[in-house]
Order: sequence, then C-alpha cells, then structure tokens
Amino acid sequence: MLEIEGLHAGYGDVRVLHDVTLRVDEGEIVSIVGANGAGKTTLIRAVMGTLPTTSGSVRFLGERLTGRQSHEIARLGLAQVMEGRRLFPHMTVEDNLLIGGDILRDTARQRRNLGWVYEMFPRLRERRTQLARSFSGGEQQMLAIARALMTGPKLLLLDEPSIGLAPVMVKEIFSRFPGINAEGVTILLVEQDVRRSLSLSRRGYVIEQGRVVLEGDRDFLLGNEEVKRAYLGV
Amino acid sequence: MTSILQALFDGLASGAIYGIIALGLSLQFGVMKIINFAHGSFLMVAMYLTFWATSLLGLHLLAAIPLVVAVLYLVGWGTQRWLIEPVYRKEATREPISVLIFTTGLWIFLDNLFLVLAGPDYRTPAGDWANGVFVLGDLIFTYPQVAGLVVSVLVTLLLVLFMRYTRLGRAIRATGQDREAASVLGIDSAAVYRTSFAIGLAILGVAGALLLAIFPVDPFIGDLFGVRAFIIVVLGGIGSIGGALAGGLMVGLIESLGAQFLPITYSEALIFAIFLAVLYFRPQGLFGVERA
Repeated sequence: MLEIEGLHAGYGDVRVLHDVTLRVDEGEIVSIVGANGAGKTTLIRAVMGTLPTTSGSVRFLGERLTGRQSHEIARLGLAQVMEGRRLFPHMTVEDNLLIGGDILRDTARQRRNLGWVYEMFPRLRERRTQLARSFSGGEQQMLAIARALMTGPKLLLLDEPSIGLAPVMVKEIFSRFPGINAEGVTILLVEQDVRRSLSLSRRGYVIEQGRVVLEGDRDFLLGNEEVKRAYLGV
Repeated sequence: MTSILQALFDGLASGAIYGIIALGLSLQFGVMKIINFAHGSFLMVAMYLTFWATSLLGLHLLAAIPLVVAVLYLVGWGTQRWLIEPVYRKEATREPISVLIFTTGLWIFLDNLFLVLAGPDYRTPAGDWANGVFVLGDLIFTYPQVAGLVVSVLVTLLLVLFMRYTRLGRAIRATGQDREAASVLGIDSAAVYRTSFAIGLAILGVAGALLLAIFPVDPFIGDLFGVRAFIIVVLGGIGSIGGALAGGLMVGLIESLGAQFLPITYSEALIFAIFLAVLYFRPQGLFGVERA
C-alpha cells in the first residue's frame, strides 16, 4: 500500500533521513520506533509532502507521492495525526471534525463519519460546542485522531500519539487503534513508546540517526537483544 | 442636544463604512498573515470604478455596486494568483517580508496609474441620489448615510455567516489558524488564499461605492483611508469580523463627536491617542483573541 524506497530528506542542508526503505501493506498496523531525534517525524512529513524530499520515492497504492502537495496527498486517502496534535484552537470541536470531513465533498458521508467518531469518542460528542483549546491533552489527542478519521482515510499516519500524555490516557488512546484498524484503516504508528506500539503492531522498523537499522515482525523485534537493551530497558 | 444626536448618527454612518473598508484587510491579514499596503489604493480603484459606472454608464450608484464588486473580486483573485503568490511561495519558510515590500510598490503604482488615467481632480458620483435627505425634526439623514449604514451592517453579517456556516468559510478559518494542519486535511491553502484575497477586495468594492457617495475621490485618497483601515483592524482585533465593524464605528464616532468639542484636527489626533491606548492595554485589540 505504502512503499518508501531509498528516501533521503532533511531541512535545508541538514540531512535527516538516509536511504530509508520500508513498506506498509493494506490492513496492517506497522510501527516505526526510535529515540527522539531519530527522524521519525521527518519521515512522516516527507510522506505527507510537508517537507520536500531530496531523493528516493514514496508510492501509495501505486501513485507517486513525491513532488505532490500535501492536500493532494490527503485526497488520495492518507491522513496524518500530527505531532503536538495541531488542532484549530479557536474552533469548536465539531468544526474541527467537520473540516476533516470537508475533503469528502459528500455531506451524507461526512455526517456518517461524524456519527462514527462520536461513537468511538463519546466525550467529543458531549463537548462538541466547546473550543478545542479548552481541552486537556488526552481529549485533544482524541480530537486529533477523530479529525483525521473524518477524512475517511485508507492509511492513518500517527505521529507520537503518546507524547505529553498521562500513562492512563496513553493506554486509553492506544486501546482504540485495533478497533480503528478492524474498520479497514491501515495504520502506520510512529512512537517513542517502543513496547506499547510494537505490541499492537504486526511488524515494525527501528530507526536510528535517520536510517532503518532493524526490521521484522513483532515477536522478532520484542525478542531482539539490541531492542531490549536500547529501548525496553531490560 | 440636537447637534449631539446628529453627530452621533453622522459618526455611526461614516464609521460603518470605515468598518467595511477595514473588513477585507482584516480578513487578508487574519488568514494569510500578510500586510497588504495597497489596500487603500484598491479602495481608490473601487471609488473610481463607481464614479465611471455612474458617469460613463449612467448607472445609479447603488446599481453600480454589484458591478464594482465583481470587478474587484477578479482583480483580487488575479493579484493574489499572479503577483503575490509567486513572491509568497519563494518565502514559504520564513516571514513574508517581500510581499510587504511588493504591496507597498503596488500602492505607489496604482496611485500614480490613476493619476494618469483620471487626473488629479476630485470626483463625485454623477446623479443627484447622493444629495437626497430624510428629515426627522431637526435631524438630517442623507440617503448615502442611511444606505451606508444598512449595507455595511448587512455585509458584515453576511461575512460572519459565510465564515461560520460554509465549507469554504471553515477552510479559510482553518488555514488562518494552522496552515499545515489544514493542508494535511486536504485543504489547498493557495486556493484559500486566492479566494480570501478576492473576497477581501470584493468587500472593498462595496465600501468604495458607499464611500464615494459621502466623500469625493482623488488618486491619493487611499492614503488617508488606508491608514485608517489599519488602525481599525488593530483596534477591533486582527481577523475579527465583528471587531472591524466595531472599530470602524468607534473611529467614526470619535471623529464626529470629537468635532463637536474640539477643532477638527484634534479629533484626528484623538483617534490615534485612543488607538495607542488600546494597543497598550489590550494589544490583541478590543475583540481579538489572544494568540499563543
């Protein structure tokens, strides 16, 4: 579904990603794990076109994404939950959600998706007329995920959904991912919380200093001595 | 007492027009974060277009409004697409300083272009509608004042509804609050910018026509009203639609009530004094939201 090959990207003269190759198949949950500053967010931004790539290719369902603008990429069926949530702070919860659904240009589908995400996060329905900035971190993260789901994505890119949240909130948020996946949304999860994200995933990639240093299925990675030592604190 | 009431009405009537002069500027700045220094000059263009529509085409001033609005919308779209956008795109990753310099150049270019096209004389609209009055006791309401007040409030209200309840309005608000977050949700920010700029100038088209009915046009009229529009936008709160109208009404009232008690040049100084006081105590403007 998503095929990244030999991707190089960075900010100005600073190269962050070096020759990254990875893939996500339809229906999977795949994790990209690594330390802070390893290049995980850069990778997501390069996929979504918010950061220009230097070389290499990104393909989604056979379509080349490199060189396209973000809004075109979003319209192909990719949705990104951005690091730091990036809600529209002066808009109500419902307006934040409706913006996500506007991409569909189909009011009936937009309404259906709204019902779907409200069912998934009832708290958002209760507080739908409140301004997004009045929310706690966990509620904001729920709203960010719900807003991305409103676009009806085929592939959901989650960038550090655990960041800045209390452990109980992280647990609550992560518990929704298998359900979202079961509804037909493929998930690429980028996380520092290695154990938690790998446990949910079928496969994973470990990134260090902008390079993929290890890849494999969940049990392989969770059992790997390097991973245990560097990320799981065992 | 009568003179105070009259001054109150006069202030509200011109203030409402000042408000919608500022509306487009506020919208453009709120969404694109660029300062359009040519705003006053576009107002001048709208006033000349209205003047020509009444004199050359023989249209009623109010009937000229849709025509002027349509032309200004297209001018705005084109200006953004072919002039500002190329400059803006080169500075996508930093503060758009060149856009500021560019609009300053556009301001000087337009003023001088119209000096050549229309000459330096003051022009007033053809037809005698602008001289019509309603008399109520000792109070006099001119047709242009009444029309200006009604139309300005209506335009402001329509813009509020448009921004709040339409898909396009939502996209404009979202882009203004977080461009990157909007773009990954499928919103084409370049298209939003073109539309916002065009809507800003279309509203200026209405304002120009209404203003011409109470104030003669010359090629440099934009300097006066452009500066005033900036003050109003900051007073009301950048990006706040209701704030622009409120700021306009405030300036209109200070001007007309001030003239009751002070020499006319002082009331201009009073506007700036109040402007500075508001900036000092409420930098986000009277109706603006504090931004992190």
